[in-house]
Amino acid sequence: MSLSEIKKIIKGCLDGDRRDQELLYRRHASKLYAVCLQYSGNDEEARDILQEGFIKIFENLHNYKHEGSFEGWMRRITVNTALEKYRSRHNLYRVDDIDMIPEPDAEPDNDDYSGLDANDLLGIIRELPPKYRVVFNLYALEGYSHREISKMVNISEGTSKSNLSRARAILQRRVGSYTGLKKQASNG
Amino acid sequence: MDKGRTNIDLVFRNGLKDFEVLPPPGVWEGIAPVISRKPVPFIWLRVAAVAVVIVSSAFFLYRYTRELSDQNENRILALNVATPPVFYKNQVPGAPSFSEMRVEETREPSVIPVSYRDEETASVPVEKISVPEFIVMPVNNRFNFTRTELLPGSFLPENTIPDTKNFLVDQGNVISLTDYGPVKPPARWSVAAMASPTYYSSFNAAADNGASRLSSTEQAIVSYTGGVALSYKISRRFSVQSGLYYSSLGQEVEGINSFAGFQSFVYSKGDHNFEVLTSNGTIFINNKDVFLTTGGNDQRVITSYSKDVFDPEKASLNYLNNTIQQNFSYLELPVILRYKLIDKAIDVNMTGGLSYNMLVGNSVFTVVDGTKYSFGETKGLNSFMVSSSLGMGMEYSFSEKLSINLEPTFRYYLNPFSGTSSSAIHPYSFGIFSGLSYKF
Repeated sequence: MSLSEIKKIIKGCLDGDRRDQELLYRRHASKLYAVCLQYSGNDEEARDILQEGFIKIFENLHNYKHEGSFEGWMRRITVNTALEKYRSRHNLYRVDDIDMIPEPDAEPDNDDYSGLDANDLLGIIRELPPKYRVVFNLYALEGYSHREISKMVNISEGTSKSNLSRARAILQRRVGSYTGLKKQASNG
Repeated sequence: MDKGRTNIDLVFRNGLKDFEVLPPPGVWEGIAPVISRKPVPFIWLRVAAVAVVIVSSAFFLYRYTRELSDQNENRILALNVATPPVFYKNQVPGAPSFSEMRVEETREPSVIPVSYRDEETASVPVEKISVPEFIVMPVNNRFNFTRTELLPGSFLPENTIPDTKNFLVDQGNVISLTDYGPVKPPARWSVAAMASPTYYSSFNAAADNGASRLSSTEQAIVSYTGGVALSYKISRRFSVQSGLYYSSLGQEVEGINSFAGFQSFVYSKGDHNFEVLTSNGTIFINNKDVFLTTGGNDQRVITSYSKDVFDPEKASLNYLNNTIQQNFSYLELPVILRYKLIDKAIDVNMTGGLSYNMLVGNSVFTVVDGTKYSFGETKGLNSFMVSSSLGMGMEYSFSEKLSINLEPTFRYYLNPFSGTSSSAIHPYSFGIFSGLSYKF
């Protein structure tokens, strides 16, 4: 989408033009829904994040200054909405949801991940316990530092690092398992 | 190992880059009606509240300085009465000459005490008359007068020497002031006991639509405010008021089903099992005997004991109610400026100012058949709030000291009840204060 086209749609949205509002939604919903799925454990939660995120996008559209990527701006709002949801829920997750996850025994030998598609990767991320998933997403996919994550999620930097380490270990193991299974399936 | 773990980041970053998933149908239908509503622009409400306070303060201050200025102008005629005033027919050397005094133009009569030199200083004691202790002059006309004009035979009716000390001098005519009674210093202080039923509601900040949806299931309940006010009259029209009030505000949250008897089924060690999202913050249900649930897709109740984990009906829990009530209590210290617009039998006042509110009570409960069941409290409330107020009051005096007041007052809270980012709700309230005040 060209810059002038984005400006035109944003102006239409700010003027209350329903067609422009729907156009904005249709053009970006798929990409943002993928972000919502990365941060949520179930589809219903992802749907809520998408809906609330878009409402915030429309309500804050006048704050967008056309200085950076519009898509990046929308993504940040969506991620923040997902974090709000996480913060409102995380203290009610049961302890055994998180701490009874077994540590991986060893690093997988196989580091050929070419057989995995985006759906596989998304599925693997969503299987992570919430507090590992949120730190991995913020660090590895969004590029935030541990200091920033500690403020966003209200944990210490040490906890952020520890959670990332555990998340990586779990992902490494599961990616290895997926890859092995896929290869077996293709050979068999 | 590090390389492998860095790679895993890249695997996901690259693999999910530009990844798209078609959202489920119906999401847009949930967004469209919300964004079509035009919420009240919060920033303008805040600006308006601050403007009201500034303008009313400036107006009061302006009027006050004007009144002080007027009073200072009149005081050039005021001299202390040290001894019984005496008038002499002949000129007394050194006595103040009235002709040197100029009366400034004012709109209202002024009461002016007049004094003269001691009797002993008079060189030629001659015919003596009593003189006015106070001269009330309608000074809408600029005029000069001299002492000789006050002598008998000129101002006063011929051969008449009044036996009273009180006169009115009105455009050359002298009128007895006896009927006006003695002049007393005005009562400046007053104390009042005031109470008001209060209707509370809130404006929603435009940016926070989650709170907007939550507030759609919440109903204001009539609350009350009461306390003692102390005011000091600093001029005829202008007074400042403070005091201490207790105010209780609250709202009812609908659609939350509550059950009792859950304690025998739960073994968790946490301090609470349920949270309820409201526009004024998150409720923590500390009462472990309470089970909460909502119907349909309502996700205001956050818990690990969802209906698929625990069914209160199968467990035969006792149903309590489908609403819960939030209540907040504040101790309030107002600083109010009051301006008397109409000074008649029924005075009309305009009031405006700020109040400082300290949170002293925070409870969540439900009421079933008159019995109150405590559930917990709302977390994240601001312990200190500032509200602006604007009111128009009436005051009727039964006697010189006792009066009854009626003051409809609008209040706007400058900060929200909740300090959490998800609740940018700014409350306002409307109450009709009434009470008795005593002047002293």
